[in-house]
Amino acid sequence: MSTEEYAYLLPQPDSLTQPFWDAAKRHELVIQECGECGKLRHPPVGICAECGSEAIGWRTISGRGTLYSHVVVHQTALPSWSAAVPYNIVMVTPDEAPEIRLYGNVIDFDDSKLKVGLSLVAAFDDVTSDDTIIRWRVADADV
Amino acid sequence: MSEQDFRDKTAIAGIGYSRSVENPGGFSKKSGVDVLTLAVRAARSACADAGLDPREVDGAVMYQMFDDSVRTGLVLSALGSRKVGYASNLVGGGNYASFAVIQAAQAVYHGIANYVLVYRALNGRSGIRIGHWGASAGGGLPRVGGESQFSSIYGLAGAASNHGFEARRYMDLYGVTSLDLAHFAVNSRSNAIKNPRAMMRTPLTIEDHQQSRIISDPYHLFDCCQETDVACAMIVTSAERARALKKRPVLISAGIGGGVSPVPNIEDTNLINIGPRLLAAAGVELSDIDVFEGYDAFTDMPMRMIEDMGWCKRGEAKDFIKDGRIGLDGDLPSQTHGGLINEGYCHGFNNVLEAVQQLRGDAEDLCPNWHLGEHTYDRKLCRQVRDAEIALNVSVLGSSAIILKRD
Repeated sequence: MSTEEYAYLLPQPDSLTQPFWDAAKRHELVIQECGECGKLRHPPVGICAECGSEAIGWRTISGRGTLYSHVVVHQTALPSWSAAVPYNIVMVTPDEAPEIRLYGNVIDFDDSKLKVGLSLVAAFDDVTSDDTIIRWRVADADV
Repeated sequence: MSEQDFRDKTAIAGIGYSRSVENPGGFSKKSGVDVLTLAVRAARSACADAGLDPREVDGAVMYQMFDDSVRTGLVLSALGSRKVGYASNLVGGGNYASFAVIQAAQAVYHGIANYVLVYRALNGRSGIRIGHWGASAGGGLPRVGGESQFSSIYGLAGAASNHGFEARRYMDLYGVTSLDLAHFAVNSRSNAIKNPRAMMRTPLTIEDHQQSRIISDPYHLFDCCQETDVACAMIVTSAERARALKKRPVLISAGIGGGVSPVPNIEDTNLINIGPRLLAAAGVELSDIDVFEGYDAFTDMPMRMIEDMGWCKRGEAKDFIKDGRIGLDGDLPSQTHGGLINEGYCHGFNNVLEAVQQLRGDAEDLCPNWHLGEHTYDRKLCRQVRDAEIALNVSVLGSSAIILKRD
């Protein structure tokens, strides 16, 4: 699908976030880490809150996580999403970094069965020829 | 300066709303006037309430979000202020509802200004829609940058969706249901029915709440406040000067916050950080608090505050709020005007004004002589809490909080 055909918003990467989206395109989930002390953080920032270092690294993680919370949107503030209601939005804590919360959507699952604590797996969605965004599937054991 | 030095040395001397002939309550979906007019109406009304010549106002504190308000310079000059000694334009959200009062009190306590106007003014429904944050992500372009590149791309925008995550997690982890939230909503509405200022004044049942449409699950319509056009204002001065003015002063006993310290999870409020300090600073116990006005953009928010202040344990607010406990004659009267959900949404600031009225004993209601401070306590007409001496006002998620005391 071209950018023009995709109906929803797409990410506009910047110098801090480009590696995240480049990795997504490779179907990898990466989290920014401090190049000095290794502290993981998201969204990406330029300086470590732990040690003050401006060295930046990236860690590839498994893509397994836990559903931290969710909403099911029936009335959206975003005009581009109005045809999609109701739709879910989830917050996910990756297994390797439970203090980090990633937003996403759970696909191929009944919204009414979403529950805090469900095991999730990253699903790399190639929404345009240039863009891959990260959604989530409920892990087999929890389906 | 220790927190105790500050205690009870400053006071709220007057309050005001942006009322007009067309809009006697002040809260509406369409004010029909510009924000400066709203702000100055409320400010003049606060001065009149205090018995203060508006030209004596020599300082101002305001807060705004998305550049949706008018700054202090314009308002002070519209009041004819002759010597401006203090002016602060805070940029942020409901975290400043209590903090704006703290800041004014500090300016007065330190002698920087004598009469500080505090206001929140917005055409939050007909102008810049305050609950729709993130709705214009991308500005018409297909791509979004900044933090939105990790959120809006999944359909996230607006207050109900952003705060719905807190509510859902709280509910799933502690067995709280939408029906429990309905009990909170019904108590608030039962107070709003007796508040002539309130936008929502028709009776509400548990069933009405449960059958109302879902905005963003877990929130039903009646869990949510509505965007509002309004201005609310107050005059802060020294306790001594306030005693020389028209109305019985309401003392500012203590205040903390403005920003938030980290909390472990999104269902936690910042009261777990500042609650005990606030009580100690005011020199009061939890059981001394007669009225609680917590920021209720959504029903679960004040329930979580009740738990985090320590009135009950986590997950127990659903039981605490039942059986009239938060009613006007209960242990902890809450949202005595109907809260933000029913009176209207002045970004939390109207909750502070309500606390002031409860402590003065002149809550506006259906009693014939409410304005003289004569209340019937007939709960069909009257929403004045009996003999309220101490009130707690908490801003969004416990970001700031103040304790007020009648003089």
